[in-house]
Amino acid sequence: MIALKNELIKLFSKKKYIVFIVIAAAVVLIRFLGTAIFSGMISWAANNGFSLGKGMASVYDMISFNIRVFTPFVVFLAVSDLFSAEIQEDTIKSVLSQPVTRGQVLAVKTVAALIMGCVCYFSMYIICLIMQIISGGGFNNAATVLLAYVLDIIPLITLITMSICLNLLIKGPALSLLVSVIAYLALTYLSYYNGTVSPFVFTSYLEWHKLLIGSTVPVNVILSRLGILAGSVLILYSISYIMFENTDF
Amino acid sequence: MATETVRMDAVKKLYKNKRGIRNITLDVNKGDVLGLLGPNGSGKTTIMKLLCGLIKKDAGEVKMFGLDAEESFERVMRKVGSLIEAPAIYKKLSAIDNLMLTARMRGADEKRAMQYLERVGLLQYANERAERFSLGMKQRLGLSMALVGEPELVILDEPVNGLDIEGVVGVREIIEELNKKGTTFIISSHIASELEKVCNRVAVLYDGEIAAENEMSDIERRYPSLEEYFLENIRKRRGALL
Ligand SMILES: Nc1ncnc2c1ncn2[C@@H]1O[C@H](COP(=O)(O)OP(=O)(O)OP(=O)(O)O)[C@@H](O)[C@H]1O
Ligand SMILES: [Mg+2]
Repeated sequence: MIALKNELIKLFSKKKYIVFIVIAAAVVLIRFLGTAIFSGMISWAANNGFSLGKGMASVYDMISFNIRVFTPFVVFLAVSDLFSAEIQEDTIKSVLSQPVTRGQVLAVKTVAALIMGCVCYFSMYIICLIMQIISGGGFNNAATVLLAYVLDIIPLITLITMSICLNLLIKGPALSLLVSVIAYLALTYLSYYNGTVSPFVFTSYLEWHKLLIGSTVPVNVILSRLGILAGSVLILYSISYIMFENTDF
Repeated sequence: MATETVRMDAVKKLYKNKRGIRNITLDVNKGDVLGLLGPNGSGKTTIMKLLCGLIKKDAGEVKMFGLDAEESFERVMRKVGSLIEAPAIYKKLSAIDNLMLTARMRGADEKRAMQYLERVGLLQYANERAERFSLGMKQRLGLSMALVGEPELVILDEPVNGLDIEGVVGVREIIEELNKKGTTFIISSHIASELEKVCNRVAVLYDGEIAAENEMSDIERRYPSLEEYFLENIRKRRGALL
């Protein structure tokens, strides 16, 4: 637990993460204002007077963007800070010469990256929910969308382990980040355009809440997808573990 | 009850380029201040990294505090503080935050961390970000990280590197004081005259092997200085290899 606290202190001491979350919040806000002004002008033209349109912002906004673009990027960045950057700057040696095993260090760093991902998920959720409340939507769907984000934590773990694996293979934080992004894009491409492989690629299920919420998917389908996600984590984490355990620092 | 703090037996570690250390057999007893003296690339850092678990040995046996250093890694490392090569410092964190990372892992609170910052002369910079520190200030911070857990064994790789005269004297005083209380030290340095002042035993390394090892008192009796002892053994080795 103390080791986890240390990793989080190191991670959040970097201002860029706060900046990214602020930028994402700004995007939501600009989008909302844009819609508000646009529909405001229409209603003005229709002589109905200016009104802040009800339901112009919804807690559903940005959920795909957040899960497919924003959070993966921030998480890749966090992993490269937690692994490649520490290895390159040689600060990893002070982490490893503490009374913790390498296995524990790997686990703690993985959890730290996951916490960063959750911070992204839920800060976006809260921002969008506030927008919805401002535009008069109240707490409509708030619980459903929250559940969606919670469910999508599972595919987020696969993304993190993939990135860790790449970080241990590739030297240098910038290159590791780049390769993580490229690998992610390639897998996403496969999951969209290659029907034969897509069921086996975990990026197909990044937004697997869509399957689970509001539709009646048979249990065996859910289980097989969960199997793909969990299997990917298992394989990627094992490879990472073996590499991390056997590297000289 | 073994009194040996460290026991290395026929330890071998070669990097991918086939350089490293071979056939290292070395005992360090409780209360020793062992100096590692050797030319650049002779294997001093490699030995120290091995003792801190940063690299894994290829062959041989390493026991620390009577335990297998790899199997009982956690228990062993609780008793070991280290400063290896350049200190590991997070630029974005302040001096005290950097030190707290290590202190926390070793059950030391902020009060104790502050005491150690004072000890290395960094108290007035406690809240300043480490990216603004000079070489010697970073070295001092690294030193406080090695000491803050009050470990039984302290491993210092070129501890006076970059330190000013006061800093060098300060390090010597810290070593002497802690050693009186029973702390064991393994120290490497290029400055023979510095090791001479604090060590009770010296091992001379040459090309990944121990070329000579002796008590400081014996060296003092037979040689004008540690430097002479070092040079003689290095030349002997070099001659033997030719
Ligand atoms: N990561 C590494 N990969 C390959 N070879 C290495 C690595 N680290 C050290 N070596 C080699 O191992 C040998 C011993 O290096 P080591 O760093 O232990 O020397 P040293 O005695 O600490 O030298 P110095 O006085 O310069 O600090 C050298 O020949 C060095 O080139
Ligand atoms: Mg060295």
